[in-house]
Order: sequence, then C-alpha cells, then structure tokens
Amino acid sequence: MFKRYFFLGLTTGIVAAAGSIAYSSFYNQNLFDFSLVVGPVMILATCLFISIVAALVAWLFDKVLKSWGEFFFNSFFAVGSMASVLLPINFEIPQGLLEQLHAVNFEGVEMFFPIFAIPMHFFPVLSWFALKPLFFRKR
Amino acid sequence: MKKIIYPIAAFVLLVGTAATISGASSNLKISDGYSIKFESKDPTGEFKVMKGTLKFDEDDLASAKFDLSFEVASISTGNGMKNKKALTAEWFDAAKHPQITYVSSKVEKSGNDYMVTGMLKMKGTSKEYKVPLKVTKKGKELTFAGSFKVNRIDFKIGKKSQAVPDVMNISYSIPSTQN
Repeated sequence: MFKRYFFLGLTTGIVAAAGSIAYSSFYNQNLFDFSLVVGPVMILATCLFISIVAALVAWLFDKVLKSWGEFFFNSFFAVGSMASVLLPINFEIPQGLLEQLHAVNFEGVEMFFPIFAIPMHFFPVLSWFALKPLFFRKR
Repeated sequence: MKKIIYPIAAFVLLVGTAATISGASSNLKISDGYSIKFESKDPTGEFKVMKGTLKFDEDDLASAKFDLSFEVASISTGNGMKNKKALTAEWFDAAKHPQITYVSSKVEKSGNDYMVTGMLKMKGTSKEYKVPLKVTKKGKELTFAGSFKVNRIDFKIGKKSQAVPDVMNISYSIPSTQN
C-alpha cells in the first residue's frame, strides 16, 4: 500500500512541478518577470516536498481512519491548499531583490506577485485528485 | 527488504527537497532593540525604523546576505525642528527618497570579525561601502554590530558648512534570531 502512495506522491510532484514551471515561464515571458523570486529548482523542490508529505499523510490516514481516511485526507489537502494562499499575500520581497525586479519590470510590480504565485498553490492538489484513480482503481 | 525501499526513498526525497527549500529561505529574523545611530559634533541621532532580511552562516560566508532599508522619516535627533529640517529637499529629501538602503555583495573574514562589502544608497546616490561587522552569538540569537564613517557630501545630503561636519560616525547593533 505504501508503494502505491509513494508513486502517487512522486508522480503528483513531477506533474505539478511541470505544470507550475510551464505556467511560471509563460507568466514571466508574457506578463511580469518574477523568475528572480521563484526559479524552476525552487518550484520543483516545493512540489515534490508537498506531494511526498501528502503521500505520507494519505497513507497514515488510510491506515488509521480506514474508510474515512480518503474523505479526511482530501478535505485536509484541499483546505491546506486554500489556506496556503496567505503565504504569497503576506510575502515581503527582500529590498535587494525588489530593486532587481523593478529594473526588469517596473516600480510597484511586487503587487502582482500574489496573482502570480496563488494559482501554483493549487497545482499539487489538482494533480493528486486527477492522478489518484490511476493508482487506486475502483471497479 | 523490498518493503523498506519506498519509505527510505520517501525520506531521502523529503530531506533533499526540504534542504533545497530551506536553503533559499534560511533568513534570520530581525529582533526588536536594534539601533542605527549617527554621531558627530552636531547633530547626533538615530533612525528608528529599519526592515530587511539577514542571512548569515559563519561556515558559509558565500551565502551571507544583508539587505536592509531604513525609513528616512524615522530620523530622531532629539530636536523636532532638526528632524523636520532633515527631511527637506536640501538634506535627505524624504518625499523623493523615503528610504536608505544597504545591500551586501560580499562578506569576508577580517581577523576575528568580518568585513561586509555592499552598496549604500542615500538620496538616490549609490556608493560601495565596506562595513566592519562583529558577530556575537548567544544561543539562537545573533547580534551584528559595528561602526563606520559616511561622508554626507558624497550623497549630496546638505551642503558643506561649519555647523555640520561632512563625516558622520555610524554605529549599528542588530539583534536577530533564527527563523
């Protein structure tokens, strides 16, 4: 059972990271360039970290709560993703980085950072829900 | 034996990714009680509001970073008239340049202490400044302190005068804790 959760977590992390990197690169090229703040390595590491933690928690919920495990885990993951949008809203870009951002964009561009970052907070949870039926097939 | 491979793989992935994430965000938190003082024959005072990010690891100086900004409007000389005058266009021009910034580019060992190289920006003029740094460690708290001299004329702050010396002694003390 752990093996299936592990591979679901790993695949979720890779798919979410691929989606996030594609989205951020499109945003950086066509709207405002935030690549100095969040780069592809950081995106990949964060998506993998969240997905592997999700796999461990899902496995634990499954073991402990049995048939209720899936409901509680899905709720936990969804609510956690929603709550995490507070992080980019409250994030303060360091002064030195801010000056570089102003140089490549324009002064005041930091107000668009939450709009850039918030959608990516939902990529892991969406990938998890999309991929789960592949790993846990129901008849 | 096979059963243990996946928990080990999960653990390795978690540690690896956590190290990557924390490496990018292992900043120190500036604690209350910091002081940024300037001294001369006259005036003497301090900037009361500062914010920014600090990153310092004595074993990894290459990643050390000091990125600080000081609110010009928070200047306090102990004299209300002087405070108001300091904000005018002749002096700091706080309306156009509300912040003084210092962003480090290099931190090196200098005897028992350190030397920070970075850009000091005041009133729209940037100059490279080397700032001596003494680090005191007490448990999880690190305090950064030192003093250096700044020539206000280099930054077009005020004009040459008999009453106000060109060179100001700046002393700072910034306590911080690990996030």
